[in-house]
Amino acid sequence: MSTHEGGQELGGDGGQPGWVCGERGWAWVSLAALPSPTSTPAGTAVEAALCRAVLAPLKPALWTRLRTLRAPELRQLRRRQIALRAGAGPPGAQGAGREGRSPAPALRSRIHARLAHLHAACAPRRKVSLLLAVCSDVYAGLARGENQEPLGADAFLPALTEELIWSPDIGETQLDVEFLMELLDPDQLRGEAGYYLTTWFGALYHIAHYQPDAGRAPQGLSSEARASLRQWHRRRTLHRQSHAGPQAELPFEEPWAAMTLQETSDD
Amino acid sequence: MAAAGGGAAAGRAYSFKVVLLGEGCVGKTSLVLRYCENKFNDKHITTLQASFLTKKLNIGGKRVNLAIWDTAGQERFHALGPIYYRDSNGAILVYDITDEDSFQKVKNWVKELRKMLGNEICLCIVGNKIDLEKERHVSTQEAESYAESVGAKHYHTSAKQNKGIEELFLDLCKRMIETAQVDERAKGNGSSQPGAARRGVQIIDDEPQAQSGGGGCCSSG
Repeated sequence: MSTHEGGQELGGDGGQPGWVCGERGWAWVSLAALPSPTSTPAGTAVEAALCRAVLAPLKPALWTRLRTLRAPELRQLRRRQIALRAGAGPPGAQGAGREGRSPAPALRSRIHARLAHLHAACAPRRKVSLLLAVCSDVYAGLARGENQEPLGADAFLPALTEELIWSPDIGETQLDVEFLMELLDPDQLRGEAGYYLTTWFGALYHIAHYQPDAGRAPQGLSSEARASLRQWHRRRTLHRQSHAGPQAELPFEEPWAAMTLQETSDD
Repeated sequence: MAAAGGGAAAGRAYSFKVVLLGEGCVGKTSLVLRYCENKFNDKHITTLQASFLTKKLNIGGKRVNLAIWDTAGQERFHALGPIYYRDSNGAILVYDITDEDSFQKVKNWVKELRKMLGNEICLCIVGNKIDLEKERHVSTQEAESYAESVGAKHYHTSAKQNKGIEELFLDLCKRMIETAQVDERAKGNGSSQPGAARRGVQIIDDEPQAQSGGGGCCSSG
């Protein structure tokens, strides 16, 4: 009944996982067609094995290729990052920053360490859990002091942007985010991980398109960005809605914390 | 097994994404926090966060998983709107009834959403802070007739006094279910590429073991 929706079955037509060159670079296809790792131990094992056997050996070559492909964009991102730093005050300064309060220096070092781990990690799950850990750190930085109320995007996005402005290697972070956006299961992209991945993408976009002369943010997404989002969306939704059964169960409860414990070997 | 037709059937759950838009300081976060009662909710990355919240509902036997995406209201982040509202089933556009500018901002969002997403997305325009009625700067009549003119519904809320919030979300869910059902029927009739496929309405099979007792219709909050 679901065949008309084009779902790829593992071992079926098109079920061979592999890297393909898409319009925006290389993408790992058909991992999303695996049984949901969040729901079955077997799925997790298969995914972990795939990461070790296929992804890990390919990683250096893949990353070199991605860096080359995206070189102009990454250069622009770094240039704008430096421009924004100029207006942001010294790193770790209390209350400084164009984009919001800076966290304590210790917290910032922890965030930088996590960003390095995020880049070094190979397994997508491990990367996601590190990305979410950075988000937790950013919230912890915001919650210093009297205000213990949970905070929304008005507070979080500026704070994350500020952190990324001080990221030692923002280009690698950009590639990590794009890599995960290509790879995550559509269910995950609509859940908490997807929300925060989107927010990172947004913060990086904001930095990359900051106009130092005008001293202001971009007024709209560029047509290239819109086209690229559309392509990405089409690519990532082609096989959606074919999932059923246990995979779809409780889509919002992603046990990232548990995964962090399981996958400590790959960074 | 796959999601198609008859979403109202028992054992299915709708999965909706709702984006929260509005200027900073209009009370977006308080509103949704009131609704989802995030406090001590360890399901999320940290209890300190209220940017992404979820709620499970049961509306007349139809199970709904709601994911609420908050956005930053500062003008300098306006350009990022599309990456958040892309794929949304509903949008909640919040203004502060004491702040005329924030209502203007809502109008801008409505224009943009209609242009980018058409009529597929359910829009709610929400005048928050009705506890400050004496300082009102946006007339009820103006706001309501504007909402009607753009095919949105208008609500008044007070996050502070917890007024109107439950109704807002319940109503929005009902409208999103209706929209999803129309899409399903269209899909059943063989029209190719229904809006639902692109917008990502997901109707997912529920595991029978999922408890049916707890979290009944809008029981909490």
